[in-house]
Amino acid sequence: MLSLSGNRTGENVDAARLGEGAGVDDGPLLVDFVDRCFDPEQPFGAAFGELYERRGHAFAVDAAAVVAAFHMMTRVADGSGTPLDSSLESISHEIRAGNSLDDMDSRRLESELPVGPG
Amino acid sequence: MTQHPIRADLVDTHEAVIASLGRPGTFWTSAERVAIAATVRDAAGQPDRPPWYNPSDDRDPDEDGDRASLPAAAIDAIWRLTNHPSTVTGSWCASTIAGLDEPEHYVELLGIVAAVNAIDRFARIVDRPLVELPVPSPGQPTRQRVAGAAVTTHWVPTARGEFNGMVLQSLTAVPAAESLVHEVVGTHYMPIAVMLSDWDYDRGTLNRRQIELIAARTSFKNDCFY
Repeated sequence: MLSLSGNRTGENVDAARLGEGAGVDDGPLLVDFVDRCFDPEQPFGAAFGELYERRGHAFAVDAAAVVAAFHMMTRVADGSGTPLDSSLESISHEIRAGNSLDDMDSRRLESELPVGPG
Repeated sequence: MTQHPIRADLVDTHEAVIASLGRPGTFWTSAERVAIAATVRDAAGQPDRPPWYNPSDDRDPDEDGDRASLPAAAIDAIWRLTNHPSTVTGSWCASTIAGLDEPEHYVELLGIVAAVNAIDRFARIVDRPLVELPVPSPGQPTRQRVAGAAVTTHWVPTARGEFNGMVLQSLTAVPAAESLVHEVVGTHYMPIAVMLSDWDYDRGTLNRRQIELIAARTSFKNDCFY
């Protein structure tokens, strides 16, 4: 969707450089925000407070809401075995390679997944 | 930091979704639905437990209350889906469904777990209190099955109908669970009607590319290749 949104509007979005902000306005700031939302060392509200100071309350609330939505969507996708359909599979090859997505647990073969000690 | 009010439609969604758990669902009773949400909170409080940890092994045999009404497979699934969703596999899903009565039990549970994770995660990010869980109301689940729902593309049965993308397709066998997730998507991400058509959508703050960047990075942080 990140690539599609860039392609459809003619903006230069490079989803293969996700960790660097993908060329999106405020990309590094937003990536840092998301990363801090999932950092167990960060106190609740710290990442939000910083984004709020830099971009205002409404911007920070909307960013937090998108994080929450995809905290949900990832569980629905992984919990249901949602497959990549053939068109998404073919157009996402470069993005998957650029972000090492095929190395993720959710992409690996079942036999490679952790089953516990012993 | 000044505590400004949160956008009203977000607050309304959080309250409506959590309140709905206090009513009987399609395959779970209201007490069980509230217990599922409470168990999500138990699990979220112990994120360092490994994926292979089955909390049902540590269950107190004399346990009572709403959580005691949940089958062991449900408890273990809630923990796994909350803390380690990326480690879920087809065989794990099949074995979990075998421990519940029907696949639709799992689909409804998945919708509740996912929605509660979203709402609670939002509260933690903005450092606000979690929405209080409701008191279960009486009544029985409808057990209404969707005609023609079958396992075709996903590990779970899905139904034909309006197509809103492969992820949202996951919950179509239990329309009430699908609605729960749609409500969260609509207010937190964007209205489903514009998702595949308005590539310049914004709420006056984040533009569409920024929304998608946050979505993609959040999926990455959750180890979700999709």
